Amino acid sequence: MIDGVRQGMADGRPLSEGEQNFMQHELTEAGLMDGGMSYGDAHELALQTHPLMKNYTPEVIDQFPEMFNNNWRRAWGMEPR
Amino acid sequence: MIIAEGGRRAAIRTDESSAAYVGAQIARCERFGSAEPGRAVRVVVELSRAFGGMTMRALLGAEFSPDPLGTVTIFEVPFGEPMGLGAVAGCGSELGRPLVSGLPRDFADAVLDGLAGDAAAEALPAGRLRIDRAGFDEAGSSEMAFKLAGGLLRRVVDALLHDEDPLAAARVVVSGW
Repeated sequence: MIDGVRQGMADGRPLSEGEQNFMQHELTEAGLMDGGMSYGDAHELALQTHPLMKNYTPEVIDQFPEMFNNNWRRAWGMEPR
Repeated sequence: MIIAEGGRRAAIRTDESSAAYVGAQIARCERFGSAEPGRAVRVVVELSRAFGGMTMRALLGAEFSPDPLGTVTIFEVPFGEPMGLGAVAGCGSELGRPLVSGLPRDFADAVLDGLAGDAAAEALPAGRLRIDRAGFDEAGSSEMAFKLAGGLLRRVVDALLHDEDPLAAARVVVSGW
């Protein structure tokens, strides 16, 4: 995901919805943890900043099927495996 | 008992009754069993692993029943329908928000892979290791999470059968994640 975001920024293209959600999630989580919050609590709050299971792109979800269950695919309108 | 190494966490307990389930179908395999005597053992493991913008979750429990006359160890994984969305999360967790009780078809093969181990895995005593407790998260559970949980469960059962410290055994597994 990070490679894709870096490349997109280098190319000057707008980030996709999944990339924007990913960055929103990670930056929120990092900010809360920098303030002393535990990872678990920060993660739960970061989940509320974007649609559930849409903080990874369909391409990444497709690339790592062992990591993402079918609900992640359904969130993007992809066929379940 | 909870093990925490950064974003990798595991919990071990003797039982979690809220995770009890009955599967309509069973995935099964067998491996050569050792001739050493076994005894009945029950244990539940749970894992939570931070992984970028998601947290992997899985809970598994099993009972080992020895078969003094047998020559193989049978691994059984009952499972149900494919996973959907909106199920009631009524399964107790020691590592986060409650899970959903049961094991969807989506994860059965991964559990069996983790439980049975690879060719290099040390044999368990002859008998049957049957999963009868499971909990999943509709977002955080995955094949990888359940394969790791199956491997952790096998190692903890092995430790208990050999009167080793299950916490120490689990810590080694968690370190490898």
